[in-house]
Amino acid sequence: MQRKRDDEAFMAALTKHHDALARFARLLTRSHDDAQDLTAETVLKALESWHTVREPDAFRTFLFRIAHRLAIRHNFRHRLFDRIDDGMHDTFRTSEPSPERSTDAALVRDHLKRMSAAHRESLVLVDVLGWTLEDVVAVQGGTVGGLKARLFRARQDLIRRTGGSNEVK
Amino acid sequence: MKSSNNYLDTLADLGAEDTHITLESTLERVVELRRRRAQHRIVGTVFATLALLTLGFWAFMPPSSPVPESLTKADVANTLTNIPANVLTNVPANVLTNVPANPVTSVERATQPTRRVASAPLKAPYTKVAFDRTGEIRHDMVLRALDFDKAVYEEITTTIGINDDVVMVTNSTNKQTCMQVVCEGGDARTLYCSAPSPSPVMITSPSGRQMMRVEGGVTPSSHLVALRTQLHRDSVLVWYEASPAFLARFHRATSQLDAIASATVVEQSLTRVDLQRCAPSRMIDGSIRMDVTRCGSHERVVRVDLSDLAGRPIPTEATYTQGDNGNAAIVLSSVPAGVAYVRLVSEDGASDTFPVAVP
Repeated sequence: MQRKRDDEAFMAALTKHHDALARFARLLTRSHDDAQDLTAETVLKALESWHTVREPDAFRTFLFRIAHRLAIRHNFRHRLFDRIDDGMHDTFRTSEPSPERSTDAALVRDHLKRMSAAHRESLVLVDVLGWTLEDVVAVQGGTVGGLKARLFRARQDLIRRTGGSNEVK
Repeated sequence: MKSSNNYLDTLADLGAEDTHITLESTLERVVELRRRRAQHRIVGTVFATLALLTLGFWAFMPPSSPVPESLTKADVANTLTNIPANVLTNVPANVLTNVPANPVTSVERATQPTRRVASAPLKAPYTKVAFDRTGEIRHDMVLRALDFDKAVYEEITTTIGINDDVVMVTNSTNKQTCMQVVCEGGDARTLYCSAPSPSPVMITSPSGRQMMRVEGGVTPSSHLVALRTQLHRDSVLVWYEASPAFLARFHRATSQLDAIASATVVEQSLTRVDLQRCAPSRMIDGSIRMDVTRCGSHERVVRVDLSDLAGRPIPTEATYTQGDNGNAAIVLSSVPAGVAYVRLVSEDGASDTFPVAVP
């Protein structure tokens, strides 16, 4: 009975944050399949450690911290085992539903893939998902100042990649 | 197309995009992941169990190689009966009382070593046996304490020619003792270096025949001591000049072994040759000449006998000459280089024996 109650509570909490988690995973990984794997693995780990969550309000940070760690591991494995450079990436078949090459969103997503993991994650959490700096620091660790610096460099990097000037407002 | 800064605004649009990852598909994957993990756990457990079983098998099964045929009960019995009495007297009483009445009824093969280990000082009981069994082993340990590098001398005795010399090479850093084999013509051949240690003046066979000579080794005031050891499994005598520096080093070395056998015991077993008793021999016109004036009065010498250290006579021609001014000399020819004994026999049958170092 207790277990059933726990599962229901977990599902209620997960439903609330699943879409954001999927979006976060999608923008951190290179393909749709990788994103789905990362999401599923995050959910499984969260489920296994659900009993450690005491405050329901802390679930979002808890969930995204797991995703953050798994993404770091995922990137590390990619660096170890993937010998494919970014220039060749477009020549491979992908599990993308339909690449919208002509739209700005597709271009930005493309540039995001080529950014460093830390920059990409900071941009996604703050600029895509609209989190506050304090919430992002709770997931990534470090300080607000450090996050601000990371964000500044990440935005500059994005502008440079899209061929613009270095002015960031 | 937007301007570059406007791409930052596009980031916000990405937040509203459909990811095509639904909660249902995620939960399906979670179930699949769980199932796969359970399988991995089972496979891991099976492999770990197999690995443990294999390790246990190797650790506890007796080795399959047979007991060497050469080791028989009779050998063990012989070994036990040949142990010197003084070794047994040093064994604690309770050890002897615990020995079974028939110690060779079952001979178990010792576990064979699987790898070589770095040499380490022998532990006390073994060292005690090593010291008490034969003098050769005892001397060996003193040489080890003197940092005598056996491997280097074995190598030198292998390469050295009959007329070659070994020259000590000056080493300003004093961190190594270096020796160079020099050919008769003066060409340097090979350089050997080892840890700093006293340099022997020569190495001879047990009978005194020279095997290796260090240039300038035997000096007129030499008082030599020899330590027995083995080079290439042949017994040899390593001769040192008993200078104050060497004796100080020797006493330091033996004091380290003092707990096992007293330095006096080691010293008593040394072969000693005191050349100060007589003038050293010299090579003059191809013959060995030795002035024996200070060796005593030999006016009525009728015969000169030569023998090696083992007491075997050396068949060589030797003449005793008495000078006008009271000086006497022995001229030896064809005496092999090394250490020998000269025996002067007088008319009345009295004899005087003394050692001579032949260059």
